[in-house]
Amino acid sequence: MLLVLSVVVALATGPVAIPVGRLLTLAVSWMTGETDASMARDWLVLMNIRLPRVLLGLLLGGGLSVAGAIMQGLFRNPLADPAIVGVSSGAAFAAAATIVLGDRLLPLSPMVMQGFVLPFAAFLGSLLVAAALYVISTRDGQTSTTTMLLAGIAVSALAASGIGLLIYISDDRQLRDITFWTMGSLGGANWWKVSIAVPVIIVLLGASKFLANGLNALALGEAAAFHIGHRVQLIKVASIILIGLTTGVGVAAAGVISFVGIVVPHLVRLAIGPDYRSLLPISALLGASLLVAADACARTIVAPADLPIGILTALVGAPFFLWLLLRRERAI
Amino acid sequence: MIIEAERLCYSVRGKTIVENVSLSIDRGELVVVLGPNGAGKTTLLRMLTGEYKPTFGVARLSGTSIDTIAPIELARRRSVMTQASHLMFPYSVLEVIGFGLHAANQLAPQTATAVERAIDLADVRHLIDRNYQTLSGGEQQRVQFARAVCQIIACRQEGIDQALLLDEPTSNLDLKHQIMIMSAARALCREGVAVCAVLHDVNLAAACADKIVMMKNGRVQQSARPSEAITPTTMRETFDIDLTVLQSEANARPYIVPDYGAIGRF
Repeated sequence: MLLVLSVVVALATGPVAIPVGRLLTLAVSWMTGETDASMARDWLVLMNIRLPRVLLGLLLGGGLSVAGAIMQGLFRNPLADPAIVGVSSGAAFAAAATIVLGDRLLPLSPMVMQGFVLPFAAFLGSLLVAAALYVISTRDGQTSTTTMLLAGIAVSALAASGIGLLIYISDDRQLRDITFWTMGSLGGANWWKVSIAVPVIIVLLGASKFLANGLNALALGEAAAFHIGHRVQLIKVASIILIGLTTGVGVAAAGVISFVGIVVPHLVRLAIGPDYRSLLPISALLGASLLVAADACARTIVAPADLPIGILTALVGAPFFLWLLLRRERAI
Repeated sequence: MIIEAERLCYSVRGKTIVENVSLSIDRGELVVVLGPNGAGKTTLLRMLTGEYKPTFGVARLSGTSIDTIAPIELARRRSVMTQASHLMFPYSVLEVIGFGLHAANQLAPQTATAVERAIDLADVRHLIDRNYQTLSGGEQQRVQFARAVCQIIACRQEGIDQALLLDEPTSNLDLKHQIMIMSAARALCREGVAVCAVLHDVNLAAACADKIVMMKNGRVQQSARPSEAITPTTMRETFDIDLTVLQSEANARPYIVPDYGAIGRF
């Protein structure tokens, strides 16, 4: 319900306003085949700019929320989030490295570079960071929040300095691209990005169905999950790959969008409880709706300019994260 | 024999924690492992659950080496309760107990009743709708016991032997519930389950065990019936403490009275 509403609103709003009624006319005319000039303009805006942007928002909002929820289950920690603990930074660094160094190392056309190599590099970057973090912060099947957050800070700083180095040696065009990746925006959405994100998100949602029971059991600790009959190693490896894959594709398509992965699962837990069998699908839906709605806001509040969505999610998410942290402190 | 350990050794970073331990637990038998802190009791239990791989020796479940059994199959044949675990997410007590159903055939007739019986055996019926995180340590422990019991009852199959392994199941419990939990373990014994429990309370062990295994410095000091295992001499050897051993009139089992006069003299 919320999903449908936010999609319609998001399709309608933007620098070129297309009222909701107009959307219906467009849909009808598309079906009957009758068009006039102004309709053709709106149609162009809708199909080439707005629809891919909304779809990408849906896919990434859902994907990042599910990846966040999985990461929280894996780390047995409600504060884990790919963007907070540096997984996204790893991906952003890999993306920046591809932008700056890619054409010097690989003799490929810019199309192939942007289309294939960059998402793959971002995936590798995030996978590497996720796996490293897990190894660093987990001892004897128990994950330390402190170590995880501190290691995340270190990794983020490392990635930031790496990106700084790359900016130093980059030219103007590359500089603009890098800024885009680190800020996070759905502005660059196109059908190609959507078509890369679709299979990844399908894999994520499909796999999450099988992971749900295991993530529930992991809450009891790795040993207990094994005693209950789960293949703990498999769950861990699958989770890390899914987190890496989703974050990588997310960063490749839209840069770093933080806090979605922590805010959405938390809200869902408050509303329906922590059972992963319902937490994962509901997080996907809520995350998709919220990101699309947030993007619609980001496009309108400073129109005709376009506020990067990463800034907006951080603006809302960071205080939320602090609130979570303080609440936990008091609980202990 | 349901549980069999043959010359188990476990060392980590050159330090030997368990050395050459052999033991066996039969159908319907309740074996208690006793020993001072750091004697290697928990490590031994972890090898029996399949969680740790022995450095040397082999642990078997109904004759099959535990290493070779898949986790899901293992879960049908043995259930484990570990020392207190707290959760980071607000699961309800009923949800936590239900996690024990993972390995069970959801269509088997006993699955539905397993949860009910586990709730009763652990005396947690009044807690089932509560958030696990808000329970006291003892209540959490009883919920974990219920989860382990639920698993073993739900997975019961004709002709398949089962074992229940308990690591300090009563460490946070009040007196009444210590007795309730151990009599629940005895009840499962009567149904053919082999039970192995690590305990600290010598009197509780003497009252419920068929056999007591005394461990110290990673080795088994002795393994015997309670009346032979608990004497002033054996307690002196294992626990390095002087005490009086009496005999209970209720069940003819030994019980100890430590020399509390030693407080202030240490």
